[in-house]
Amino acid sequence: MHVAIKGRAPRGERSNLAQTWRRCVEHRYLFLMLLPVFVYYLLFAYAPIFNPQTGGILMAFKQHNLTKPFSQWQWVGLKYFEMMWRKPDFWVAMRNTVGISFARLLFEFPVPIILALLLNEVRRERSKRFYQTVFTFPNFLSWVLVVGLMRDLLQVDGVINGVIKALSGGVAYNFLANDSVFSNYAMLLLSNLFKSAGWGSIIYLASIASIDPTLYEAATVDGANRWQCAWYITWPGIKSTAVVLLILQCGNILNSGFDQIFNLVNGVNRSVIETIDVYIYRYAFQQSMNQSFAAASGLFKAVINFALLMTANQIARRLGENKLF
Amino acid sequence: MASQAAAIPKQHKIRRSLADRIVDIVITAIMIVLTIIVLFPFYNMLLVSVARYEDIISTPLYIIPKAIDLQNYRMAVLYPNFVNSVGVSLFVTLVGTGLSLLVTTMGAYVLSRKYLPFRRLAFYLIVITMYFGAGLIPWYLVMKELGFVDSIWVMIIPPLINTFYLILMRNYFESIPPDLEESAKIDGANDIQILFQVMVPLAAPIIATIALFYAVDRWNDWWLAMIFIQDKLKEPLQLILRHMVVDATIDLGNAMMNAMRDAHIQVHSRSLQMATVTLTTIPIVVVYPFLQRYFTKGIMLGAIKA
Repeated sequence: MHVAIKGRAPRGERSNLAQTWRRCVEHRYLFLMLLPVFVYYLLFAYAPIFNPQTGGILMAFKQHNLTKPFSQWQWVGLKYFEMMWRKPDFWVAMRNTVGISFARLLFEFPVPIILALLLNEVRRERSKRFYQTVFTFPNFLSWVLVVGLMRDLLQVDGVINGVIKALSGGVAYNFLANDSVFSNYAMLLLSNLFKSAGWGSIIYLASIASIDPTLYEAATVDGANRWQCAWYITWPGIKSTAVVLLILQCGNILNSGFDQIFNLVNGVNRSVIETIDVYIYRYAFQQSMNQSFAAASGLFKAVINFALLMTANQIARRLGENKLF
Repeated sequence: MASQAAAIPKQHKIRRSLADRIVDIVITAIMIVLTIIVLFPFYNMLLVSVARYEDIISTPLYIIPKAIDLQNYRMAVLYPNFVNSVGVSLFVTLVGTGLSLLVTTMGAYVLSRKYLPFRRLAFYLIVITMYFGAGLIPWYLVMKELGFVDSIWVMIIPPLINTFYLILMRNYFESIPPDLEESAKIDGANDIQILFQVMVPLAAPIIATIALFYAVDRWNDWWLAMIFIQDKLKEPLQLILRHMVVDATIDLGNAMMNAMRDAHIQVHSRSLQMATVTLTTIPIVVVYPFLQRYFTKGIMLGAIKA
């Protein structure tokens, strides 16, 4: 379903300025109610991009200078982008971002689908609702809070290490500060599944709910068992939703979970889990006071991200399945 | 012939129900295991939050409660600025949700009117912000220019509108049949009256859903406060929690030290952290039944009509 912008005014009316003006006056209350939205997007979305006072995205192309106002900064072209290009830690952050995103696509993405298929097979309506209640709850907690829960479980004196120590004879494993790719990725993926797999399954359960029940009846009459019903009716019924969500997820490759990683990153695991967003944050507020460099890496990310999102969105739309816009 | 035809489905039924029962058992087993996995961190949270210092120290695998000691909660409440931060969080959540809802509802309604001039342009200008942003530093500098540094309003105004929620609500308003609006217009109502007297009651489900989403977002926010708030008295609860569990700066204030000394108790930092985590979870637990009633609708309404 396209909820795209329908109701475009007829051609003749559009060219008529006076008539447009009359329509605007007629709907003055509508414009009044839209005013806060207009101001909001102007100040918080557009002013940061184009801004003669603070520089907007142009500051990425000017020599950072704390002592002068932005208008007097020197143009330096792509200097900060070249600087970024030569920095090894930038490429580490880039590699981590893409690596974590692909791991998420591979291992996290299918879980809500499987969970929805399993929940759909739970017979008793009350049990189903109970499981859903439990699985969805962590989604509404902040990452600070979930990291708090994780830290207690994973720390050297925690329960998980208690079990490891009992089994291995006293050797604890430091989950929270190590540079093993496997251990860090497992921690990121499992904790994100804990938080959001249940929530993610809701969209699939809704797709399942909209499958024509007569299909199941017909299949059952023909002697199909539950596995066959799930494989030949339920799965095709949610496949298109899954494909669209997969494509949209691919568009988000550069956004691999700031909140989660920011609350888990430290000096030891930085080389493995620091993503581009965390990197930009570090250079903006912690590492150096070179705001132009932070702005340049931010702009670089924003542009690539924009291209990825638009491509993904176009493909999803081409499939006729992007139902949002 | 007739009796044979009747016998076959019967046979089928018996065989299927046997296989069915096995499938049911397997699925129930998987569900129970998953439930335990999801609930265990919360069990551990409560367990550690009511544990005594000596029990944590002396038990290698503390998993069965030896005592239920609420001292830790008393200490958590005495943690510097804790009580104050609860006030900040409540203020931000209540005022922020109210303002967000008002602005989002008005905007969504206006954008849903098909006869609105420049509607297409306005909508595109809003949607594009979901795909392209200026980046952290240019955004931060504008916020600074607008006077948000160290202001409690930074947690309310910059996140005022969530574009995704705005679109969800707009789609819902679009699905309301236009007859009602037309008849109200004939009765002489203006657009503002139509929205608040006719449309808002009709859109109650989506408004309730979005209200809950905004409330949860405001309650859970720590990032804006971390960047902009320097005054300890303006820190929200999530930021205090972050200091505790992430920065691990268990900086016990005087009130707490005195209380501990007077009561001759020791509080394990884990217990203190988990008590604070528990207290921060409570508001979410309280609104969760409402959230659950609405969220399925919320994510579907307007967005996906499969």
